[in-house]
Amino acid sequence: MTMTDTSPAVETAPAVEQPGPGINRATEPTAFERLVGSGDHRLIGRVFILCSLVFLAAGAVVSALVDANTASDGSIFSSEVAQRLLMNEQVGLLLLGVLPLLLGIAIAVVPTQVGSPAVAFPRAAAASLWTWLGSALVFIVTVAADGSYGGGHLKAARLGNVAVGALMVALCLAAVCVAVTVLSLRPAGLGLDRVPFFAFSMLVTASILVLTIPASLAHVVVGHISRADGSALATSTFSGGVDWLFQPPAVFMLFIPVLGILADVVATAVGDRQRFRGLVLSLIGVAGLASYGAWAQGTVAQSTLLWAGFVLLAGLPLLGVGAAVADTLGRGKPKFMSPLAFVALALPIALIGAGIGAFRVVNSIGKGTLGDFNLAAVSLAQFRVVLGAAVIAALGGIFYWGRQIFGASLPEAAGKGLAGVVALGIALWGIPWLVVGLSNTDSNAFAAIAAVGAAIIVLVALGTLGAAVGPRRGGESDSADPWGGGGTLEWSDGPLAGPIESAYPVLDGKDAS
Amino acid sequence: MSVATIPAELAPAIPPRRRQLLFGAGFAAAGSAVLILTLLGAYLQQRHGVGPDWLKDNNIPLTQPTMQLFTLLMSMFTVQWAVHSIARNQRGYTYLASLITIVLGLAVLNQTWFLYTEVGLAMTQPEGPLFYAVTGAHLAMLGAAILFLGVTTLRALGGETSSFRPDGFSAAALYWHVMAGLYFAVWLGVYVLK
Repeated sequence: MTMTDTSPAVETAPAVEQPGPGINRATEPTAFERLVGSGDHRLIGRVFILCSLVFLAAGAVVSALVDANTASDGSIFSSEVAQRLLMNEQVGLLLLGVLPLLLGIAIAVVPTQVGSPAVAFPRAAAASLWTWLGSALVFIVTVAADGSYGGGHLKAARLGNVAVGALMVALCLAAVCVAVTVLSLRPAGLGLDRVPFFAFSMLVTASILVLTIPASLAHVVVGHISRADGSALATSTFSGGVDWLFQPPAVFMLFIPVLGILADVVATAVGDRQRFRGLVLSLIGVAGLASYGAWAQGTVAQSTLLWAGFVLLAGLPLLGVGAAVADTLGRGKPKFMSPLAFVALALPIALIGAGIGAFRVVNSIGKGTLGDFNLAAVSLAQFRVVLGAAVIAALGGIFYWGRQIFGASLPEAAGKGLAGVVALGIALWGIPWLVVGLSNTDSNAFAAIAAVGAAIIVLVALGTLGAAVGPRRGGESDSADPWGGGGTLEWSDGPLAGPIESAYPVLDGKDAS
Repeated sequence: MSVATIPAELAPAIPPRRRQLLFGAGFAAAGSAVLILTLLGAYLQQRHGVGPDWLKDNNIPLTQPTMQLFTLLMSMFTVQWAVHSIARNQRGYTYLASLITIVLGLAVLNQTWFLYTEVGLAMTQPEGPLFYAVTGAHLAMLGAAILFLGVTTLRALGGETSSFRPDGFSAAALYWHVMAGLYFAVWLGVYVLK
């Protein structure tokens, strides 16, 4: 026997670990300590996703109440409270709902897509999660306590502003972890041109986030140190420094991950390689460029030709990637799976959002002489539609990568049902405000429809939460790829036999065998 | 009993991909730059709006800011000296260069504090919040750069950094250079064009 051989006694030893002498079980970390102290990217991603779904539902509840208040001529709140809730609802939906939802999926999935056992800077990723969660709770409490932007309670208003700043820092930190994972944790052979579309799209999204969010954070900092009260925070910090995040071109950054999820899901549904791969990657890069909005913070900047160019450019990647995936779908026999239903509905809704941008450009070039429009309503509709497209795609991503994120696939039937329902909800939530904006009519009836749409979104967010934490479907195969057509690294059963020589190493292995 | 040996035909382990810290520092520097440039833009916009009455009750001397600029310029050379030295495993020079850089950074911190007392600008004045936001944000970035370089030097003392893994010093130097470059913008926008 050599020195490296294992003794038979050890081989047959029971797997249960016994505490050694001097080890006290009481000193072992509790479940809570393991949760808080974990740097496991799947766990961090899961907590991000589950909490952001809860916050998304809460934001949609507030939205439903605000719309219901409008529909009932202010019988629920005063106009000041409604205005305050509307402002903070937008902050909440973006910083507590959609962005962390997308970043959570990325933290859980991107390392597996690029063949890395961990996310870059795992402790920073964990710090971003807990900072975000703590700040989110503080933000919600301050909004409830008549604070944050437009609030009447001085300390709660300032604390809400600080919480928004902390949310921004936390999301930037998470974005850095995702971007560095894609840039530096790839194995040999997996060049940037070979990473899966979602990983590439999150690299672009994260880069844009890091270059965009601090520009808004700067105004939050000034608002805090100038000791502004709630109304001053609303007029200077929010209106001058935060609300441009909800306007084009900045809000179009939500299109980028939509494109990534769309291209990945379609390739898997067909069980083949995505055609025009280089074009799709380039268009994702163009989407990133077109959504850089830190330069367009003021109303003056939002009426320039450069702004018009950026806003019009944002629609091009949607059309281009849409055409590329349609070609891929047309050349194969796509399997009808729930993620495909989600992304197929997300794309047209995103195109509506880009179309509203084009309308605003035309109206801006015409210096508002095209007609008598309610531009505030148009702007609200655009925010909701763009945000909604990202929500639909993100939910598709959760169902698509359910096995990677939650350890087991989410129920397919639930996914297929939720896809149609959420698309209906988003349409009802946003389109009525577009009609109000374009026709400049009385908004009561349309606001009631929008409230119904928001209520549907609440149900969908809670339904997805239930599907994620509820019992998993039985009788599924043991394969890592429940769809049977995954070609990228996250669908691999184990280590690959050979070097990576293409963007679809798992499909290469299947072809070879 | 025989002694096990590693067979020669086994492929060498693939070394971990480097530059993780460098990319992270690049993103942190980019985010910090956007923050400070936005603050500076807001400062210039407000100053333009107020006109000739801007800072009429206060005197901001140029001596200290210019000294700070040249101190940071020197520190850019010394921090690069640390990167150069660690890449050649000259550990003594690495520690010396890092120490000098940190001392120069602390000198700028000290001088900024002195400048604040000289200027005597109150937060209640209309210029106060933005003046302290711009210069304070840069001060915070300088503090972060000193901390980053200090931790990297301590890790080098512990043997974690070498010519094989020089990323820590390269990343700290990258952040330092961006911080010093941003000071030039602050110096020009706040102190020279006042």
